[in-house]
Amino acid sequence: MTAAQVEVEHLSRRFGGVLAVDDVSFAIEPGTVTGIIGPNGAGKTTLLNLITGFAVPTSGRVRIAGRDLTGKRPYVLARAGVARTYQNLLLLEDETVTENIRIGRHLVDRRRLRRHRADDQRPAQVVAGLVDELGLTEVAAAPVASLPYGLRRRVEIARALATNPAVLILDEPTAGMTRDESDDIASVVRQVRDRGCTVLLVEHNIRLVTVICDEVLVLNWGRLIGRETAAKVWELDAVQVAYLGKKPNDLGQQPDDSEVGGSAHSE
Amino acid sequence: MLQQTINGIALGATYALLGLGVTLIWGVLRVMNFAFGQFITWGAFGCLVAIEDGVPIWLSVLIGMAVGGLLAVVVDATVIAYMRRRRSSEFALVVATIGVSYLLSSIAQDRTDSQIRPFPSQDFPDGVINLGSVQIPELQLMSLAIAAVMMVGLALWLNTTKSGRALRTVSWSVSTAELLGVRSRSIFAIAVFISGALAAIAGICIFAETATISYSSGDALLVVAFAVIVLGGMGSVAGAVIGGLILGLAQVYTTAYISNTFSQAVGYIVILLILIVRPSGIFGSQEEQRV
Amino acid sequence: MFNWLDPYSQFVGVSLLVNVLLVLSLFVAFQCGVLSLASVGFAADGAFTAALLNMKEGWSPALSIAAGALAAGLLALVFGRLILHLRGIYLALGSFALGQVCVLVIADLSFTGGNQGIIGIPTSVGLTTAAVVVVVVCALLQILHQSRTGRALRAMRLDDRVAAGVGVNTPAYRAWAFAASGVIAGLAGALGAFSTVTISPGQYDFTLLVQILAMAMIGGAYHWSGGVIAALVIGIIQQDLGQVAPLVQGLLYGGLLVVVMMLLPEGIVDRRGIRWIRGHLPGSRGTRQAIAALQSAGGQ
Repeated sequence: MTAAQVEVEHLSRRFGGVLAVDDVSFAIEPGTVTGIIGPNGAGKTTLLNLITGFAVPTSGRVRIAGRDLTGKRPYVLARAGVARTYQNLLLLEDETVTENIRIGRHLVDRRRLRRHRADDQRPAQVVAGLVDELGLTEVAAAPVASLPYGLRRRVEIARALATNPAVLILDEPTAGMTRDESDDIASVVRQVRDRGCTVLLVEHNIRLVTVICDEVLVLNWGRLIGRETAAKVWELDAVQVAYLGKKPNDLGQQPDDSEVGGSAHSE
Repeated sequence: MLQQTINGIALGATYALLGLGVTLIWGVLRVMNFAFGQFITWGAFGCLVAIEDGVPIWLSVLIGMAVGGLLAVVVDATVIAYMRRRRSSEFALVVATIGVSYLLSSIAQDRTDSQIRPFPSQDFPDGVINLGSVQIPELQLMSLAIAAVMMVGLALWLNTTKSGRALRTVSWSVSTAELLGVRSRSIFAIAVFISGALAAIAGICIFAETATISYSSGDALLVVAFAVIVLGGMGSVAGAVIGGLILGLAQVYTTAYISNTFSQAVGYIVILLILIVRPSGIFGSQEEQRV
Repeated sequence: MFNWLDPYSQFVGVSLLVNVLLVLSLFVAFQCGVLSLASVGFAADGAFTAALLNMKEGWSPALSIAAGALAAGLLALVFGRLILHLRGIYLALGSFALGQVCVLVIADLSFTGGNQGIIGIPTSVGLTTAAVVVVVVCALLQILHQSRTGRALRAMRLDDRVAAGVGVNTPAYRAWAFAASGVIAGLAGALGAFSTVTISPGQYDFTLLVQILAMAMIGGAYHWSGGVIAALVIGIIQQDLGQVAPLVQGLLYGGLLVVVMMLLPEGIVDRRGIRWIRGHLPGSRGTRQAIAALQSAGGQ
């Protein structure tokens, strides 16, 4: 896998009278894990859609590893090594877990590789490996529609990983998960990062974000209102106002456990 | 040229009725009902049989409309309602209506021995009004008048009456309508009946002019109906009217200035052109597809 | 090879296999979610192209048939670009219109014989030829089914966005599937022309479309064998019924189409059915228990 970076320049997306994404610019270094936080309606998913080709920007540019891929179709972005999961889950409902993950190998399964493919690279092996890695072994042969929400999310993550991405984009990957389940996802993300992949994740779970992200981007009303290292993200005035509802005069205080639902400071 | 234009407008008015029939169903039920062609045929045959039995002309026409409407309701209540309950895909529904259409067409073919029957245009007005250089057959005036009355009546009904407004609510959102106390099933039935009746009256007007009818007459008009709503925009009443007029004129001009066989293709060509260039039609809403 | 059958049965056999090919042409499009109703028009194009090349230009039957198939495929490729961006039933309507326009254009041109069509085409296609062609096409479809492309096509049918998200070039795949559908339909038409000796635009009508559509829907969009079985079985039944009145044909095909759409919209080779069978084979209890445990524990 080649190193990748994601660069977004004055990106905007207008829907009628509303600017869902408003002049957002940032660059993400390869091999990092970046979190994107913001209240509901802040434009996070629209931003992801703009980066992955599911929406066309009204203005601005999107660059992946230096290549300008603004407004290209989703499959072009996928071929550039960008894989994603979806906020509302996009799975082949009647197909099994294994089949859903298997389709992720489409780009990797090119004919010329067949001769050079080592045994551990055979599709069945890779898919089985991902199944185990995401804790789906028991339900590998089950149709996805029969699984509870948390497992369905994991199937989608496994499918994204199956594409051997250079950039992995996760849209609320731990929504609907228990604390243990989200810790499992956190370790998966760490392993992926260790393999050289660049990770972008949209999350509402601030605890998780501070645990695994190197940096955090804060979005509100479509604008990028803050960029900070994970440890310091709570100190951002914008975050305190947006997330904790603090009035501007109360700023400067650290949140306690009862407000956040978990420890804000972690190892 | 003026003569052709007037012919085109008269024809276009009846085409508009066809479009209204289809758009009513599409707008409310999201169904592209291929059996619509059979509602035209059977409704017109209903009228024909009544006339041949000596029933006065105006009553025969109403009987024809009733036949068309009832047939539409029967088809909807059986096949379409079942599939809607089962949440079948749009395509499965369309294919099912193709099957229904073929079934009904075969029955009609059997009952008429595949014969082309004369449509008793002698019972309809057959005089001609002269306006300068132009001749307007009374029949065309009658068709135009009927079409206009139907369109105005439909518009009034949709906008002023309780059931008409209920129908507009249902076409916008079934769940909202039901929350407001609308019994959607009866509204569906009313809408379907009206669409079948419109099909019948349009067919009667057109066949009275051509003076013939056969089991396949309605199918040829089915294409026209679809072309009208594709052109005007699916689900749009104004679109159906304007689309109908444009198509009527197009049909008349191509028959006069190009060829007869080519005019058969007009409906299909319009469908293709619009779908290629602007699938939402003149008054339809744009749909974005991003894959 | 089939000389043990009388000539009439051989002739019937060819027309049966021509229908099989038409059903396969619909299948190739359906399997990736392209709801094409244009095949009848492409068949007409293939038939007339092949017949004209043979009778007016003196090409050999084999070459003419190949050219006819390719011509239809080319037409599909060119016009496909114009309509394949449409979704669902709009595509069905557009492809239907395309197919009908093809036939109407043929009927309107003088050098194609107008409404009369073409007569006196040599009988070069016998049952053996037709059978070989069908077997080859089925073999190719099976290879496709098992390939990475086949998997991608099936995923496209289930959810376009999933396929695009994993890197499938959906517009290109749709275009090629539609073109392949055109080639197979053209092949069917061309083979039929060199068997039936006469062809006229009127035979590529709505009735034919309904018949092959019924067979294709019964066969399902998952595997090519469904449509083949449906076409053969229904075709043989129809032969046994002899010269049937249009009423019986209408009840058969129309009724079949309605019943199948209502009860078995996925056709006889139904993915869910296969999975149900697999799910109840020995060895699958573990999976079923796991699912049951999950469902009672956490809910959906």
